[in-house]
Amino acid sequence: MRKTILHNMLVPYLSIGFIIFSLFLQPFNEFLNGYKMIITSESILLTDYVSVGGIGPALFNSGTLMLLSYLIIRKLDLRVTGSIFAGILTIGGFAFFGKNLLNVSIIFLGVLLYSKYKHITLKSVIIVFLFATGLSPVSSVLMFGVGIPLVYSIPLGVFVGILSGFLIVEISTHVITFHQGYNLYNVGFAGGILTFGYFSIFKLLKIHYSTNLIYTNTQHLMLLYLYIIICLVFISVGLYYNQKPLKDYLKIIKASGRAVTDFTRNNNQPLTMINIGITGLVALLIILVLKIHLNGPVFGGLLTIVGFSAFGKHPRNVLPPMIGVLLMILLFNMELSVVLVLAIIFSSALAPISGEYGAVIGVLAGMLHLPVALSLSQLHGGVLLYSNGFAAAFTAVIMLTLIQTFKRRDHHATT
Amino acid sequence: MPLHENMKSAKIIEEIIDYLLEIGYRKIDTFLDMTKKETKITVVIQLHDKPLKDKFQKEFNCFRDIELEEYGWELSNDIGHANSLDLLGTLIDKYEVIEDKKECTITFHRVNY
Repeated sequence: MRKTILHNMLVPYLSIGFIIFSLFLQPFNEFLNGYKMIITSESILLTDYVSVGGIGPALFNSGTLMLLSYLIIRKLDLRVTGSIFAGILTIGGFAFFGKNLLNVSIIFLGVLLYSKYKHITLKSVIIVFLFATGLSPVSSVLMFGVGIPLVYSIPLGVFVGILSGFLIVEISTHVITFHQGYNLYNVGFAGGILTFGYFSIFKLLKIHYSTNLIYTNTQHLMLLYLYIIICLVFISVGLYYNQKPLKDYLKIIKASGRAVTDFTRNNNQPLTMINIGITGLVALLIILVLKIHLNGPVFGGLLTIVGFSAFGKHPRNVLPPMIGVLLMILLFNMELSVVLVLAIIFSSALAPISGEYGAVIGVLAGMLHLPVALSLSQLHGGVLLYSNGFAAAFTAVIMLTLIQTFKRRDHHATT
Repeated sequence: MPLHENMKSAKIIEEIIDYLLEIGYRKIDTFLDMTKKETKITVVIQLHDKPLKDKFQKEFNCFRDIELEEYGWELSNDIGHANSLDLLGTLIDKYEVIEDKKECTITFHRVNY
């Protein structure tokens, strides 16, 4: 049992739990209608599936996507490593605002075709396979959001989605050198480049659609309790199965978190689970202190922090950038909209900067991230779910340039 | 053969040389042997009374993750940090270290899957 749980990092239990729970939240007819609404939604930023289809279908969507991803991982004979855990939870999180079985499957197919075309195993590109689903709205918006007849729009959406999955692998593996692993959402950056190209072509071809700001705060308490339970379960299971001294957790806290840092290595899964729960609760604390209500996007964003807490994030490195964004919001007296709340949550992509260079630099990185993210969101037209991941790459590069410029001497240099 | 195999082999050599230079070794030979079955990289370091084996074995964590390798192989190790050899570790299946008074020989193996 111990071995199984450490290999699956609770992913199948979480997925099945979501699915079963979702079925009891509304009458079955209402559930089916809601799920259909989610599948046929244009899914562009920012579309809260809890608002579109209801809490039950949104949970079902998240659970089924995580389970599907897990089954693919098992089929490939892989264990749930830190990177894979982050990938699956990112899918599960964004399944509350943009990813669904239809648009995710299309992207999956594109990456699968790439692996066949290159004669490589899907296993070797599995991380990009999972994260590439951030491009899912490209398919949905073309199929259901541009107002052309379905007979044309569906093949077009499927084609562009497959093409996106096919192209994203090469871009992702190369652009990671741009920010040297200091942006944890690397595929967000790669996807940003691709969607910038798409959006420019859409404009040229006069393909118009409008971005969304659909969300509901009506399920705040249910999502809050659910999230707290998830974090507490990870902490409890981690403590139960941990056979190492608890002070070893400090090794995780001391890590910079720079990509590619997999906390689950060396049989470190129990301590990683403890980190997952603690980091998740720390992020929630910020949300609660600001009296922000949980909706699909906020809950989904928090789930991605939970995911990346096995792949680089811990309380020491996520807090400074989040505080930095918050300071900017306060400094410029901005209204705390969902978009800004997501900027707070996803600024944790810059966790490696604070992990490596300290809290002050981390806060400054967060402060810079907000204006950069707001500007760059215009470039992809809402068809990229990882908008903050795209921006975080630029923030990271600017911060690293400043650090290198003003650093007087390389303290690692030999004498 | 995995994607970018030649470039990955070159990267391994670059990373280990970088590491050895950073910790003060100045006489280093490398040998590369690429076959259909595996890529073998041998590094011979002149020690000059500065043993390497224990330090290297303590710092080098060999844990090739095929899925992680493709994602992050182009990154550079951050010399001087606790995880400075981590990226190198993701590219290697197994390794051997043989040390005598004069030199240390490290052999890395990458199996072609």
